[in-house]
Amino acid sequence: MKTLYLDHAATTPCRREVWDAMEPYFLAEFGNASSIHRMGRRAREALFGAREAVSRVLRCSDLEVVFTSGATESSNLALRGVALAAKDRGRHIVTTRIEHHAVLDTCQALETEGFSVTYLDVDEYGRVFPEQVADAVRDDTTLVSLSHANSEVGTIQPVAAIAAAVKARNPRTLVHVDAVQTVGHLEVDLREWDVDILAFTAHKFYGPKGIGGLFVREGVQVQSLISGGGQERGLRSGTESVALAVGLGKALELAAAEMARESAHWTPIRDRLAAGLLSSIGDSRLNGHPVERVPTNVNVSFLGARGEDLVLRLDRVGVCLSTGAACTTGMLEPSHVLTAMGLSRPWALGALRFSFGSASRELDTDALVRLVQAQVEQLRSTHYRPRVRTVMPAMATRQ
Amino acid sequence: MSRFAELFARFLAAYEDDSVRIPCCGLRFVRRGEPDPVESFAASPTWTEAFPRSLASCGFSYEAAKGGWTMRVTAENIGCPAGAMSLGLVPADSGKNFDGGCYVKPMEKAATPADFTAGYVYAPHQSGHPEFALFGAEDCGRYETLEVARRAIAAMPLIPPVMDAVYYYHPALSQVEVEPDLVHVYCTPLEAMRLIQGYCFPSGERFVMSCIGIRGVSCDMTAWPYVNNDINGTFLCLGARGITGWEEEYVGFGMPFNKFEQVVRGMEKSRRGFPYSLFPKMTQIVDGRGGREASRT
Repeated sequence: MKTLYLDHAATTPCRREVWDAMEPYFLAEFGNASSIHRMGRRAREALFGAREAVSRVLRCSDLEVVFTSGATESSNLALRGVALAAKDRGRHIVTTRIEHHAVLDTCQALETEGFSVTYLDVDEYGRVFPEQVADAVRDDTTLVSLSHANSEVGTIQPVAAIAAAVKARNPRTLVHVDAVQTVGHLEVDLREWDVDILAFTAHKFYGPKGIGGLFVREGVQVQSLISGGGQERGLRSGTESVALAVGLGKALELAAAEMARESAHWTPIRDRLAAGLLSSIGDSRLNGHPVERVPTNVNVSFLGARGEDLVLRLDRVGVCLSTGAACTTGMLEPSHVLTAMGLSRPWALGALRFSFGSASRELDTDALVRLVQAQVEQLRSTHYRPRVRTVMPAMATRQ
Repeated sequence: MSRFAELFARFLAAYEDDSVRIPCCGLRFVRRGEPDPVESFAASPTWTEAFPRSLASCGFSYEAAKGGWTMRVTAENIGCPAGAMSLGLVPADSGKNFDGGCYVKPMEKAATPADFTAGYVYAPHQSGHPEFALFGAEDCGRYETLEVARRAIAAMPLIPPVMDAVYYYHPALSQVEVEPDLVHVYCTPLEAMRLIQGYCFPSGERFVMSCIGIRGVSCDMTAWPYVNNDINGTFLCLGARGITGWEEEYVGFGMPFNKFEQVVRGMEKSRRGFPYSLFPKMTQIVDGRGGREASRT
């Protein structure tokens, strides 16, 4: 059975060119970048090359790039590292209700350690606004943390304007951006953005899993979370994975070169799929902003058909998708992102996320719409009753 | 079309309302030592070997009735010790570990079937077993005292522990030709009224339901009908609503398959005596000058 992979927001396949670039550093060039002999020197050069590649794409200094094990570690380092480094001048953090759990859970942990956190509400599209964020910033706010684009619904936040508003309110407040869904896909210009820390991860732009990065602007104080050999300028000790770093650098270079073309390719497909689903299937809705969203994301809810059931059924015919729902105690819980956007439980549980990329080049949107429609109808047939409208003017006479 | 699918279609048709949608599933028990009809079930287009989360018996019923899934439940994959006992998969004094099961996840220590039988789970603080509390230090238990809990448990029938497995499947979507032992039906109170009208039409005998707000699906809708060979109704329970997520508009019925046939025949015969179109429905929307808007999802 052929697989149609539509879950690129979860992870992407590693490109062959990336694998080829990495392979020598698993095999012949296995030196430790901290060693002073020739093997170490060659490893160090490769690491430097990877760092340079990242700095060129993000438009920052190579000295401002720290390699980590991935976005979760990057976000933990950003939040906890800044909170601890700045605790003498403030213990307040601002974030939003729709951040990734790597951010939210870290914030909740910091709350138990004496920090206070403001969780900003979002609008129906999942947006926050510059003035809204700035209003939440206080004299003791050390960090504002938000994502550039939401991983579930794809809504893009105006991070440049938000960062500017934050700095205008309190120049000492640092701004952390979770750019996991946008680095390699949308323009990220750290020369233009007044952003202090930015997280990303390779496996979202066709690089290997197990490596990510954190941009830390020169002069920003971050307390390291891992003690040891002092690698990564003391911010992240541990023998570097040269192979993975090389893979990250190569993947980002390739993604940046293709960014405009990919965006132009997927945007009309995204819009066609969304329009097809909404027009063919009643009681459905698009989640996220209709325009200000990443080119490769469609998130649609279907009333009366749970996203989990749809994912499992479509998997049987080779289509790989995801839903934002999660299981906690046993009951299926709707996505915290959709709930924060104001969706009721039935709508939130009926969400399905389609995210495109290289492994879905052969996507036939019309066929996919028919497939989803058939599954939704079958699921609805067991229990879902559409609204029946009956006007009863006689009710007007009741007292 | 299987007999089950045919009866289910007739059951829905008896309401004479195309908008009626009633979640329904069948249960087929596999006694130890008897042939397991796994091939018949595994051929179903909705067969799933492993659900992506832990489910109690009410959860399996939900997924079959609403999701259309076809599943095989055993003592190894059921997420609730009480459900395991009710279904006859384990004995009441079993010390089997259900760690990770959905019902015991909120507990500090996962209770065993024996702990349930002893009353420790339904009266945790009262019995000196706070580790089984579901709602922390404030949890007053499901019964006021340990003695009361034991009395309630004694009145919760269990299927004899001779079962290897239970299949849950949807009458139509499963496309399984195996006749169920029991049928689960979930409906609104209005639909329930019509069902009971049909069931009582030929006999004139009152329908009396037995429930206690605990083990609503595993006992009220499963063990009770199995042991008593009769239909029973329930308002479901803490687990069925709070863990599995059965929505507020549903009440439940469990019945042996032959009783389901009785219900369907009775509903068909009594159509002109209880015209369903007569009754105001939840989904009627008043034009803004009064009344209540509701929709069923």
